[in-house]
Amino acid sequence: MRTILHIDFNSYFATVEQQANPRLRGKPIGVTGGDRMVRTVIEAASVEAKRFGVKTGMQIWQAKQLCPQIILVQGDCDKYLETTKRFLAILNSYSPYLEVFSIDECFLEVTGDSGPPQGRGTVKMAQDIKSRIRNEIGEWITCSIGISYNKLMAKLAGSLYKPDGLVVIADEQAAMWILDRIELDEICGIGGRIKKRLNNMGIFNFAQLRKVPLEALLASFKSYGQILYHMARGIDESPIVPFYEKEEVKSIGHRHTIDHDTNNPEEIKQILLKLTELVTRRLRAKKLVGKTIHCWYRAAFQMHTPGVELNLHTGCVFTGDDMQATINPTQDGLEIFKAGWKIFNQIWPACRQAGIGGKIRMIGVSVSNLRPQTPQNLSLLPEMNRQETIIKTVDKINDKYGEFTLQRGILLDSSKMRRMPNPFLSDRRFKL
Amino acid sequence: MLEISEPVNVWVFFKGNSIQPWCFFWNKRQIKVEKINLVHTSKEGSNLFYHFSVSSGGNFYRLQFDAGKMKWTLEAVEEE
Repeated sequence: MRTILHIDFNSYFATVEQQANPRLRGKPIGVTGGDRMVRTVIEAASVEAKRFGVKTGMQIWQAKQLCPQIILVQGDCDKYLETTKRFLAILNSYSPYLEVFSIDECFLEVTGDSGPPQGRGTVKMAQDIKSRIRNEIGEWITCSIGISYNKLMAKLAGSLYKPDGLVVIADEQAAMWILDRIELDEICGIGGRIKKRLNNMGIFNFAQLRKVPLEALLASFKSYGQILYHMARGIDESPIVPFYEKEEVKSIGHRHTIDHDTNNPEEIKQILLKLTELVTRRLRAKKLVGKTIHCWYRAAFQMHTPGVELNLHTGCVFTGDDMQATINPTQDGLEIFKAGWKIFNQIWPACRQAGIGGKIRMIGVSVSNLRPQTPQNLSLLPEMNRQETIIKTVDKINDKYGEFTLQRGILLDSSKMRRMPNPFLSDRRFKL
Repeated sequence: MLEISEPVNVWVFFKGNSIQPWCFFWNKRQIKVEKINLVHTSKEGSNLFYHFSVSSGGNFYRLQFDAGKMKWTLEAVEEE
């Protein structure tokens, strides 16, 4: 029988901030996203803030309404990533079978003589891990650990007691007992939509789900029906995928929320070009080219109009648009920018007609359909060779002295942008 | 918390394979570091920075060491 630990750090970003600054400990704090304090959301709420109902993803004004004394702390991705590296190094010392699920969650498969999941060896190992994290990283940092015979149940076990929990689901019998006492969407893999669809079928709990034949689930949910069938029985045979074995990214993109609403085409062009430069820097670093360009924007808030569904309680709605286009495979920033700008000009008019003067608050661009760069034949055109040399030199200088140390002249007075790690660490450039 | 970014002088000692600030001088005071709560690094290009989140007398300070220029900066302060 397999023995898998699921380690989940409690209110991770907030806990790290409280570890760094003891004056924040025991207080409700909210860490803002994207290392800024405006036009952002609560990226993480401390345990104290969660007691007031503050949740990840909440708008700042909503959080302040629920908890007026909340302290807002600017996010610092370098701090969180470094802490992640340190706890992964601790976990790696127990087993090489370590899967990084996100910046604050991972699975660890242990083998050898640690015995069955509920064995003393594994429980002692989990306690040892907690102790080492406290001693080697920080006394305020806690994690919940779930131990079970597969990943699904280990993750469920970890979620049952927070913060600083340690729960074992020893076998399938124990799994059934737990499953019969939780809601459908308390398990990883069933969200609000799937739960609603199951409810519409008259299924409100796992005991009822177990009674549904596999054929019926496959008919309603296609291949996902098999997963639901297994979930209801506590079955999950997915392997631990170590970080170094994970597939490379399928697309590279960046988006930016502007600190003010704008419909100035020159300003939007500047931002799009800067985003494109960030994207193509990453493409060149990975020696990849891409051919599908995707561009999107989010319009400025607009007041509620009758018949339009509200997303927020203020009466404002999120609208936006996106489109993609295919070009010749490239890693050239200017080529990708031209394609992205063309797409944007096709989708922007709808925003202008929406009665908000075409103002946008966020724009993004990504490149997909990636493949390795192939050796290029030397061009007979001297300007092409010169262009390539310039790009390589600029990349070298920016690698050494920082992003945008050297940049296109048009970007000189543009707003500052910084690369953030994806919380699921899908970009392996942020090496662990 | 105040983000100030001021150059400061720091006395450090080297313990094992780590560098630990012992005290620093700011606002005409010598502030002894009572506890190093967290250390993390950041990069600007190839230049490495070490950030020390420390406590002293119930106050919080964050010191930055620029490994390239061998320079210390007091990045942030939160005092009573």
